[in-house]
Amino acid sequence: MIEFAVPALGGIAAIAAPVLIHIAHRRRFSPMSWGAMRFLQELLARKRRRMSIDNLLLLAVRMLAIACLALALTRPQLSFRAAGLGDLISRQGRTSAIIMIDDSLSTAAPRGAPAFAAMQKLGHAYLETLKTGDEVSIVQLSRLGDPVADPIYDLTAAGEAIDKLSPTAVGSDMPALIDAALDRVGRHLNPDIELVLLSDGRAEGFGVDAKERWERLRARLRGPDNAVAGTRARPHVILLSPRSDQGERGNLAVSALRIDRTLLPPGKPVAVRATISYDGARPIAGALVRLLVNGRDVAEQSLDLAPGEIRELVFIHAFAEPGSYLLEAVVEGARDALAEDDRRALAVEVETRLPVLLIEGKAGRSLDGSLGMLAAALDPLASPGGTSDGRASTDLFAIERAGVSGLTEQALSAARVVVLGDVPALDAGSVSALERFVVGGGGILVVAGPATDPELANRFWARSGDGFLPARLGPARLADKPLHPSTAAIGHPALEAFTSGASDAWKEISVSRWFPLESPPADCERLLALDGGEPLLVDRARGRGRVALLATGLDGAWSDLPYRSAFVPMSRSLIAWLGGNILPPRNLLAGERLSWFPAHASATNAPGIPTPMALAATAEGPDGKPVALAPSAWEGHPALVSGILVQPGAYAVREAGGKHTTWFEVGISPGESRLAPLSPADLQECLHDVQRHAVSEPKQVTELFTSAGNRTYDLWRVLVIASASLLLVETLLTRGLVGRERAAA
Amino acid sequence: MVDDMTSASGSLHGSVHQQVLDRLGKVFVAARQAVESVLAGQHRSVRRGLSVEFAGHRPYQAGDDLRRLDWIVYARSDRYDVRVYEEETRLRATLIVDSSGSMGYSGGGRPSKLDFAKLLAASLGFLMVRQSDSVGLAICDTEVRAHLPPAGTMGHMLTLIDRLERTPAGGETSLGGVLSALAPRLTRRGLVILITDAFDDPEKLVEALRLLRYRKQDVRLFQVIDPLEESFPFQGMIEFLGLEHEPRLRLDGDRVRAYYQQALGAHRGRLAELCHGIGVQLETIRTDEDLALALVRVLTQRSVTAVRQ
Repeated sequence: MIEFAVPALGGIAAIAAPVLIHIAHRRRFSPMSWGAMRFLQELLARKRRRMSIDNLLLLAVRMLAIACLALALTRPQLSFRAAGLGDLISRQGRTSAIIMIDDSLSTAAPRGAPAFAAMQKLGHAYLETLKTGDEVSIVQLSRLGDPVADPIYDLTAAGEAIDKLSPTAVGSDMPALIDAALDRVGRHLNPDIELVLLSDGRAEGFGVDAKERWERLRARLRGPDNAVAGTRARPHVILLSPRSDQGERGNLAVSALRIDRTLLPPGKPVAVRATISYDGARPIAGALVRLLVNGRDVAEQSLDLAPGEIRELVFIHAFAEPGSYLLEAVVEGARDALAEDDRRALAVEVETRLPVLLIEGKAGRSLDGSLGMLAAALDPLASPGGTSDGRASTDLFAIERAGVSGLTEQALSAARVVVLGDVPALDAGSVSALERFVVGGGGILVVAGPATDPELANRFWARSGDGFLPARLGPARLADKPLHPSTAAIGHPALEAFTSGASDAWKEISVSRWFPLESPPADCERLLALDGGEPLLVDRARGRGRVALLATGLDGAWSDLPYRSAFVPMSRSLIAWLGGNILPPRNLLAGERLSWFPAHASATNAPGIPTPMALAATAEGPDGKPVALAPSAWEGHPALVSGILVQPGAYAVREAGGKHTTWFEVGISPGESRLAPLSPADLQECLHDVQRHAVSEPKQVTELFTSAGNRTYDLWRVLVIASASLLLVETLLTRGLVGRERAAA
Repeated sequence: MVDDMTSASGSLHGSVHQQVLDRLGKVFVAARQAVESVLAGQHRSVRRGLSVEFAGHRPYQAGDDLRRLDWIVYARSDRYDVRVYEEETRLRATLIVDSSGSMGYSGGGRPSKLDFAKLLAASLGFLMVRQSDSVGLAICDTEVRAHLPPAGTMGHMLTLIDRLERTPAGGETSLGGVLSALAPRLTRRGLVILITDAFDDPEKLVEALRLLRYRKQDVRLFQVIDPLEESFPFQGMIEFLGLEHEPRLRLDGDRVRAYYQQALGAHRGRLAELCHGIGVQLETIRTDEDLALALVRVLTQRSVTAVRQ
């Protein structure tokens, strides 16, 4: 960087002097008639090129000499500073430092020399630049609401606090970390504010695509237009990230683990799919992937992976008994960059019964009624009083049919899925109960029909998008000839029956009458659509639960859906999808809390559930140590709740008496396996109008605040020498030119 | 001086009469080669033959006319000698004046090269007419603009002068081609006096002169040059405007002087060398020279040369 002690750059205009002289000289041509042009033309033919080059060279040398002289008069100084440091930070008074520490899982990479250790060194280097009286807050990504230091004046203690930290399993989220740090600014007293982000510099945590989020953050960091850098309104932003050194190892990870069913019945084989990803540069041969159920090996497969390859392995397994299980996929045999993501687990619940409440607008028995056909599809053996042969129904779906009046709090508390079949209207209490039901994790299927009043449904059920109805209903439409579904969201769990693609039975459905949906919201997923794109079946998340809407009836009046072969599998997979939520959630991310209540208690506020004091259970973490559970509430219901869990792995909650064990899994964000560093372009995208100082070496941290790293050279001396040299060259050139002319003469 | 002459009489004719001719006196125009004119004049012929002035004896040869045998010599010395007489001849001269644009140059208030050439041509013409020689005129630039065959009367001389006076400078220099075109018209042995600045390709010019020599013409080349064209004293930036429609040139006079003089010198050297090679006498006359003195210098030198030969 060049600085000018005397900002008289106008002198540089002097370089135009030779040109102006040249131009002025050109204007003084005296015209003259001349006879002996022949010799001048010969002369020009021989000498013009040489003279032109000589003249141009002479002109350039003269201009350069004057430019150097003019620049030298401004006394410029050339400052050499490490690349990326930006301007020096000048501390005027006492400093308030808010150190943000990214302790996400990726900071544990690479093995042997984790980025976190380098980050700690950078943190110490920064603390050394502070002096007595400066304040320090330390905000940890895994404990955003619980700072380590808040703030403290003891710099030694701050250093020790940094030393005690270690990588956790939380996912990187730099915007959240910076946001939390900005929230701490108000707690500091010193005037100079510095936000220091200690991160491993991975791209994943910055969430470059979250443009709106960064825009809000930038606005907070910039402050008002007239804000002074380093103040509360516009703090200094210092980015301390060690150089990325993943080496050639690459990272092998179990990036996903899933089951292809939403509802797991005992005894039936299910496909467990483990996705293995590898981003290294060298191929991997002979890696082993093992599947464990509740800690016991049940299957294993070996695999070879090419660089950048993503492979899905399928394990078939059947759960013998109902209950809570922990499925784990572990990849072994490759020493990759990050060990923690070589395992991924899934806590599942194997169930024998899924209670479904059918609310019919037109009551009936057996196949009659608005939902008689659906009831038969879900539980063919069900009949009042049991099966025809006298044995009780053992189907997965436990059906309860009722009229509109049967929609009570008690009925809802016993159900996990509610189906509203051709219901004309609901009272406000029922609507409110349904809202709570779905927000709390329940599933609702709304089946429209002849009795459905679209105006009432829109007003009370949809409520301009705030209600449980996924989309507003238009006036019922009658087709000239029956329409068929033309598109289906094959692959969606609700249409699990058609996932294989072998069955196109859904295309045979004929619909003669339906309610067109008025501009469904963007988050409303179309599962089935008629010819012309009109949605027939849509699905939308609402709170922890889901709501599906079928725009035609299931009584056979508006469509032949109940009579088609697709009806039974589609109904069962749809209801299983809506009721597949196991609550409280069993699969958590690091940084969340574990909530538990007995399996026999429902998520809804049913009378008779145990009070917090009555709940008794013990929890055990991945390392075998007990985890404290405190009586609290989950979604308004009594529950035992743990503290923030940062250690990834399996957690087991055992009910007092040891009868039941419920498995929970604290997983890691899949993004933590992606170790690609943040590019300068991405950093610029995130903080493009925020003045920042990026440093990767402890030595540079010191140089950022002192002039030690600011090696300055007096450039004007060089310029004076250059100018003198150029004048000498000019003299030599002129002499050479004259000499040649004389020699020619 | 020439200006003075011109202004004093108001015409070329007058100026030549009053000043130049008076000062020239009886300077003889000598031609190196013999002409076939049989008319008497003051030019000595190198050819020996029957005439009124005795030149000497030579031994008789078979075929000689016996009437030329000098019986007195035979009586005295018993030798057969034949009398030889000097013939007096009439010179047929053609003055060729270059009227190209470059001849229009005049520097330092002096007359232009063309004006000087006209004066020179007229002076030579008068001298020759006064010696009872015939004088013709050709004016040319890129082509022959005027051609008056040689005649020895004063009336013809006046016509010649009138034609000269009406000649402006113009056109481009292409003497080589013009002389080649003119050569067939010169059918009889004679003298060709070419007055030009010779700013032409020396090779082409001399090639044309060689053709004239082949036509048995004694050729004399008077190169008229302005003093400024030799010294090139110009300083500073000059925009040179060509007199023969050449593209204008913007040059620093100080810086190109040496190159110019070098080119001019090379041209003149080459021209002199080529002229010498074909037996053409080259005389350079500057427009600031006294015309009479220049004529004396040139013609005297020529007479001496002729006597030696």
